[in-house]
Amino acid sequence: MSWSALNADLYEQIRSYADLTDRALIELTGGTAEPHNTQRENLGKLFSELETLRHHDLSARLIWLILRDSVKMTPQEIAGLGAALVGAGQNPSVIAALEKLAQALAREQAVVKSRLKNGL
Amino acid sequence: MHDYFDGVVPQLVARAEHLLASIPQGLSFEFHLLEQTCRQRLTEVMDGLRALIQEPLMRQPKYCQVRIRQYRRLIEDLDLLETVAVPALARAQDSDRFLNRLVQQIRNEIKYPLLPPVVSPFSQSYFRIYGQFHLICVPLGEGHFLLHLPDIYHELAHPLVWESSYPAIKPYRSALLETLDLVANWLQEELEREERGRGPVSYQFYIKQWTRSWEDWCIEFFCDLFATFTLGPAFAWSHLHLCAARGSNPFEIPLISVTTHPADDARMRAILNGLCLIGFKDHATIIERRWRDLIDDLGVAPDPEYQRCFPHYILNLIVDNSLQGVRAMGCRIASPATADPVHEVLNQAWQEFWRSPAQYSARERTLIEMLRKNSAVAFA
Repeated sequence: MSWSALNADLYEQIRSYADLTDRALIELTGGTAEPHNTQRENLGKLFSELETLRHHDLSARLIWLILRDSVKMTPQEIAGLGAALVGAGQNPSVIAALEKLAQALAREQAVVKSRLKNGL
Repeated sequence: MHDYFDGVVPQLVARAEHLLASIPQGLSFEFHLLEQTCRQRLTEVMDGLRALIQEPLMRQPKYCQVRIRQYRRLIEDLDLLETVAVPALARAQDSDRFLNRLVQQIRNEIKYPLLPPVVSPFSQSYFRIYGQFHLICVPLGEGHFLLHLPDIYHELAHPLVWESSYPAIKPYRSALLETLDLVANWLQEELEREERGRGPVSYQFYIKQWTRSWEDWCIEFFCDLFATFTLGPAFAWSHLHLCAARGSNPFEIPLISVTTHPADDARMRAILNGLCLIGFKDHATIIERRWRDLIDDLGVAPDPEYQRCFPHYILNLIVDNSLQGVRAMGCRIASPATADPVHEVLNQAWQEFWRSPAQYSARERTLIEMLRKNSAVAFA
């Protein structure tokens, strides 16, 4: 049995969330927002439904754990962030929350990457 | 940092182009999907790198943190392509065909619901699957030996955990998620009990660490049990073999750090419970005896916290839920009557090993030959 298949999977999952978060951040700060189906909206919908989704989807469970344990957000704060992202508008507190998440995801990636390289 | 990016990006794009050019032409069909994935991912990396210097947005000061994060992710993607996926293509040989056919046979035998991953014999450590490339790396000589091959079944389970585009595997993922919730609830109750009681504060800290580790441990247990239910006793023997040769303290539990793999003894207990559930009680008894011999030889014993971290009823719950998930997914569950060729050879290899350990090497060559012939006929 492999010591690192799990780490490789986790890395890939966290990587895709990190990418999505950065894209949403660019849209939100006046970069490339389009009227519909934006990354910001996608992330917002995900966060709004995360409390339910985490019981049905492992990938959703992973981001929920990161938001709870690393970003220290309560379920209400996560849902609130989701609603704010869907609602658009350049809200400084939303931008700050996303930046905090982006940094937490970068840290998580570094931890998993180091476990991968050490074969743990 | 603009001048830094202006300098390194063209260099990295050239590196990716070099990797693209090093993918050999005329690869056999087993490698086609991997080739396509590598080409696509290298192109995405090059596009992403170019965007770092060409997108006017990326030159704005407010996006400098986003840019460095994106840059690091692209570097990591390129590293993985350069060190794992592209070398698997560059070193692909006809001799790899046996292991690839073997995985396809396993897939047919156990009714594995996903496409078969490609196998490359150039792992620098042990068995390792890369879900994003659909690639299993095994050590160079593994195609000539049988005793570790059961670990392929464990590796095959990993993609099932994350794959969401196959409705057939939903029951397995649901069973895992249900188990994760039950385990989290149990640990929450344990923590609340500690907080109410007058025990040492350190226990509260341990339980918090275990809660984080259990998220990953459940996945590993489920992968072990998938292998147990689809292959049978050979997987348990393979676990014993791995622990004897490369393991540490089989009762090790994390008290300060977080780990991805549960204690080897807990894994063995779950595997043995699983064997009993599918009709291999006699085999489980024999394997358990050998496991105790190994523990005696190691001279180790569990700490008092061990049973609390891996209680029997939680392990039993995992085993029950996992079996339910594997069954509902439609996979073939092994039984003493199972006579599929790969299943038989891998289980027979371990029987032969214990029947006459000193003579096993000669017998193994015959069994491997049998497997190779069988595989060639199956794909003729």
